[in-house]
Order: sequence, then C-alpha cells, then structure tokens
Amino acid sequence: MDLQQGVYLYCVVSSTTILEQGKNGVGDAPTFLLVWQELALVCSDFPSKQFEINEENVLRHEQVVESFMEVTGVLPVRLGTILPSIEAARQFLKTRYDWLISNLTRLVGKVEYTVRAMTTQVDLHKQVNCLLVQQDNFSGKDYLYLKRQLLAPFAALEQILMQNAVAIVKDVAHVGSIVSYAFLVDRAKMECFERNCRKIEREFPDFKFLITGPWPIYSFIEPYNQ
Amino acid sequence: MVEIYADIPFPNNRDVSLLDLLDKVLDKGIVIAGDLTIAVADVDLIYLGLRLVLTSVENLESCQIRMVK
Repeated sequence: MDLQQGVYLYCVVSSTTILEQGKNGVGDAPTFLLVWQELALVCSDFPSKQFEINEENVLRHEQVVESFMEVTGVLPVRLGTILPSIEAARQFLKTRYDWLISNLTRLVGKVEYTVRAMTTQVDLHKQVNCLLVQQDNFSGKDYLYLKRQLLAPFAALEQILMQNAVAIVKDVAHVGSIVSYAFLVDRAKMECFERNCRKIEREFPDFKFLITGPWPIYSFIEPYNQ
Repeated sequence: MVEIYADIPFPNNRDVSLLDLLDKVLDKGIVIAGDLTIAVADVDLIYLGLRLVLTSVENLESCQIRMVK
C-alpha cells in the first residue's frame, strides 16, 4: 500500500470494532483501521494530491461512516480531511485521545436527526419586516412582542420534539422564518422521536417541515480545546 | 443511506437530501484545523456557496414538503 501521498479520514470508532472487508471509500480505496489504545481511526489510502468535492466522494465518505454507525458509535470526521502519513494519523489519535474518548463515550448509542421548520405565516413576517424598516414608528417593546409571537410556535414544537431527545442545536435564519434543528436522540427513543415528528406536522399546519435522519452525530461533538 | 422523510418530487428530493448531507459533512464532525491536514483548503469557499443554496429552501413551499413515514 503506497501511503506516500496521504491518509484519508472517515471517523473515529472504538478499537473493538471489526472492520468489514470490502468497504471501500473515496477513490474506491479499501478502508483500514488505525488503532491506538481504545480508539481506532477509520482511514483509507489517498494516492491523489487533490480531494475533489463531488457527489461521488461525498457519498463514499458518508457511506463508510454510516456502515460503521450501523454497528458501533462513531465520531465522523469532516469531509476531505487528509493527513500526510500514517504517523500523523496516529499522532492525531494520541494527542487528542482524552477528547475523543470523552466524546465517543458521551455519544455512543445515540443518533442525530435534522428538522428544518419553515413557517408559512407570511403576514406576521411582513409586519415585523415593515416595522424594522420604519424604526421610528415603533418601540423596542413592540418589536420584541412581535418577535416573541413569531418564535412562539417554534418554541412549542421544540418542546414536543425534546420529549424524546437529549440535546438540541438550532440555527435561526430569515428573522425566524426558517429554523434548522439538530436533535440528539437515544437509539431506544428513535421511534418515539419519529412519532413526535409526525405529531408536529399535524399540530402545526402553518409550518412546512423537512426532516431527515437518523444521521451519524455531526452536530454534538464538543470543540477541541488544546 | 440516510432515510429521507420529505416527498419532494424527484429529482428535488435527491438534491435536497444531498444538500442536507453536505451541510453536515462540510462543516461539522471532527474538524482538524491547521498544518496537520493537507487537503481541506477549498472546502470553506464551496460551503459558503452551499449556504446560499440552502437558504433558498424557503422557496420550497411549492414543493409541498411533508413527512411520509
């Protein structure tokens, strides 16, 4: 195996994970495990100097991560991460061992769902936007009141979904008209969570939803502090 | 592959799910920054473009997004 050009990283798993043969990754290269104590880095040889972001490479990356997700806890690595050598990859595991172990232990047995919620209450949005333009004609109190009105349904649907989730991250866009959520859900609660997804669709007719999952856990990895 | 609950007519369904995937894999997970890596240089610029595409999801009203499961 020529490793002179680099090592492509997919995810971090427990060292007890068994690598299923035939799981090829980016560039159709065979995947392998690089083990350090209780952790293993899922990698493949990367003979090219340039990583191209295209549909095939994105799907290859994700398919490898998800094949491990089926059988064990995974910490996915950002797409297109290539280290210069096996030694650099081993060094990565050594220097960040405690951080990786802590994240893996915390997230094992959990999955992530994405929920994008979009309100169709255009009038309320127009009202808020008009007031934003004519700032002299309304008070901060008025604005906050309208904003609260606008966000109240989002808060209500969050509450329903959180009944079967353990954590949430959200990203508000367009003055609250679209909110993207990531929910961290125990595998044992997946069915209940999905049931509540259907419930919010019924109970919030003024919303459109786009819900995907279960995903590997991308959004709940604690940042690394050197 | 990830299960998709939205029944946006093909090929939009596939496009939206791919965007959702890109939104995750380009920006989240374990991010190794700095000199250690050798090939993530172009990612940020492309991601910026994708964010612009994703915000246009607001205009997907006409696609009748709904859960099917």
